[in-house]
Amino acid sequence: MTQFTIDLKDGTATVELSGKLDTTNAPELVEELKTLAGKDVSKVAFMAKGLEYISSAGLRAIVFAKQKIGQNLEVFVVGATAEIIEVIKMTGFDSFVTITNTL
Amino acid sequence: MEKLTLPATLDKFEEMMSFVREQASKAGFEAAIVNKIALAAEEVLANVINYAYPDGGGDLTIETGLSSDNRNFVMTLVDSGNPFDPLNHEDPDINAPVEERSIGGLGIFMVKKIMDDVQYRREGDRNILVMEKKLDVKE
Repeated sequence: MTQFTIDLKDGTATVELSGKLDTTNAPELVEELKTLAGKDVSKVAFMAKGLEYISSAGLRAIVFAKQKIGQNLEVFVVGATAEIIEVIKMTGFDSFVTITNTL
Repeated sequence: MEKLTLPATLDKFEEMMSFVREQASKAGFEAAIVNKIALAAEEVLANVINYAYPDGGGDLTIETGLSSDNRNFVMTLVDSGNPFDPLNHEDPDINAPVEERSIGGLGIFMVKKIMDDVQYRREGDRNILVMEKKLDVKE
């Protein structure tokens, strides 16, 4: 059973993240994101309110969304804590994901 | 000095991370810094778990302690896998557009951002990675 469920509606794919997104479960998220390739998706929203920890493996999953699903795809990280936002900024990922409080 | 030796496998990953978090907390770091040190540890642990022993069957050792002047928390990772210097890798261009962003190199870049000093050496058949973080760090 996968921990990640992607809800696709009106071109927006929503993924709920909680707890940790690290080397143990990020590959699973990538697998789930792959199912979006070729579909009519314009936005991916990572709902990150319950996310406590993200490692570079988790960030890679987010880059994967942007690189593999479509270049015009908008990627949102929604409701992340200051700590998660700091990690995203540390790696310069804030230049291509939109960090926001609400979608 | 505290020391933990485990098989370098993904199913031991949580145990390794708990050890690192516990030791960083004991050294007196606040929770946000402990999280960052855990993040750095994850990057290097994942490297060893995923790449050091292509045929499996190797161990990795994490040692934690203080520097001789008691100013730094020192975390050392030792494995006897394939020679691998994680520092011998160009930093990713974090300003590059997404389509040009490479997926590799990001982890060690984060380690270097988080820790104050990172040194690699090969001793005999062992990879030794020493990472230090100043204890008086304030957020």
